[in-house]
Amino acid sequence: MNPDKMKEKLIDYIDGLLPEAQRQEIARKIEEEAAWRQEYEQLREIMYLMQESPRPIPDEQLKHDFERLLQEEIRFQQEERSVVKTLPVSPAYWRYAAAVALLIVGVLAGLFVHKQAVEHEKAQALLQEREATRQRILTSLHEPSSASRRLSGILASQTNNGPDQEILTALIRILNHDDNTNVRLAALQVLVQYREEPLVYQALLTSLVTQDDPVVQISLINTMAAFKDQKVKENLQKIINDETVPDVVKDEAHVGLFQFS
Amino acid sequence: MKTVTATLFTLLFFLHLSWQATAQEYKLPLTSGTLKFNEVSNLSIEGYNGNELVITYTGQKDIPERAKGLRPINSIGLEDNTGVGLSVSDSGNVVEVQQVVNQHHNDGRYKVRVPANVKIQISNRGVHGNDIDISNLQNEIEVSTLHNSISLENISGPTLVNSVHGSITADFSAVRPDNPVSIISVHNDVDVALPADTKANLTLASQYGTIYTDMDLEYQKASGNMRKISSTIEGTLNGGGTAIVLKSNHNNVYLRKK
Repeated sequence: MNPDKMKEKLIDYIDGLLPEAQRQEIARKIEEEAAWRQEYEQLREIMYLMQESPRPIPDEQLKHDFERLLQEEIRFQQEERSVVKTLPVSPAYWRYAAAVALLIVGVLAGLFVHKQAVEHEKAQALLQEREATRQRILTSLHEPSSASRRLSGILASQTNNGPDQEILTALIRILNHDDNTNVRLAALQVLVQYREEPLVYQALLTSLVTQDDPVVQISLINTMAAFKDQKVKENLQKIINDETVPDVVKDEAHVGLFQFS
Repeated sequence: MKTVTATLFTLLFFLHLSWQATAQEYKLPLTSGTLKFNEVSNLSIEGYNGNELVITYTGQKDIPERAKGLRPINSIGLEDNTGVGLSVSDSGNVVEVQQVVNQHHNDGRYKVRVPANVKIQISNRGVHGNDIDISNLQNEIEVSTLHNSISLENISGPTLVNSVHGSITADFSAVRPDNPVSIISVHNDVDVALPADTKANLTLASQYGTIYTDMDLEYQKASGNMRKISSTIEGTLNGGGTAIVLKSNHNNVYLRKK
């Protein structure tokens, strides 16, 4: 028996529409043959689910169209009985179609839920990656043996969503205490971009006077004179009056003061 | 004939004497780690394929007659333990070289040969000495000077160089990823040559000078609220890559294609 016919018989069997003789035969087949049993159980489940869901009530037009189609079909069947015998214009066909529709809806819903989960996973992975990069930057900023590693860390701190408080604090420490002048200057370059943070601006103002590397102090003067802040002007005056400051730095402070006049 | 022979012998004798006076050499086994120079003036460093540090002093050393049998010492307790006026200390991973004799009594030059993969650190805060020449090195180079100009040739490692008054010239044989370059002079030129295919993120800056180049820079577009500071150029070479910062506060920056 072909699978479609088997399904049709089973659906009628479940609905109790078969004559007694056929009913017994199907029951025996379900009992004895694995393929029949499997199909029977699947169909029973689908039909149970369909009964649970609200039945659509066709409107008048649909009913009318259906009746017309049905009449046409009956005529057609009478003409070519042998071919159309199994054409499923029966309640069983509608249930079968609904089952397929239900399956499609189920699969789509499943896909949607899966997509949501994948996106959540992606967001989590991105956050984790960002945190890993942040940790790598922090580690390289504290790398005592390699100036180039510290320099790379500073330059990378601008890209990873910008530096947070912890990284900014590390950059301030580097600006004032790193052994390498180029590394200090790279920290200055980043800090200047985040000077709107009060913590950073205060650190820059302090370093302007206390900086012990002349090259960095000159760059601080060059950069901060352009801010036109009265506090910067006062600090430039302090540099000029400080006897311990090298002349090359004082000259720069004079040039910086010019920008205020 | 006798006169000619005598003259030749005399000449050879004096040549021999002057060779003794000018070429003094110090050697130390060295294959990796960091070689540090503190306040050593007149320095040429060259990388080579070997396994020892060789320092040769060429030139006349002004050692007074009265100093015979004595050794030079200085205020931080350093002694000449090399025979070439330098103090060398080896702490395993770092070999530190410091000048013991007063620099302006020296008109000679220290020629240093070192395995090409050794890291080099040079700090010179004094006003004495001439240019520092460095060539044929593959590892990290850190140089910081007050007055001395710095010349780097055939280098390919991370490079962090700065000077207050000296010019800095650098000719790179290659720029590798993750090997950042930062070259900064306050009062003099910065002149750098890179291979044409270098992939880099460039920052070129000059507050009071001009920036010159013959390379094809891709300029970074200003984004969001960030304001572009006019004296600084941000751009990329060949799609971007290694971070390269070249800056001169008061003079020009030259970026050349090799």
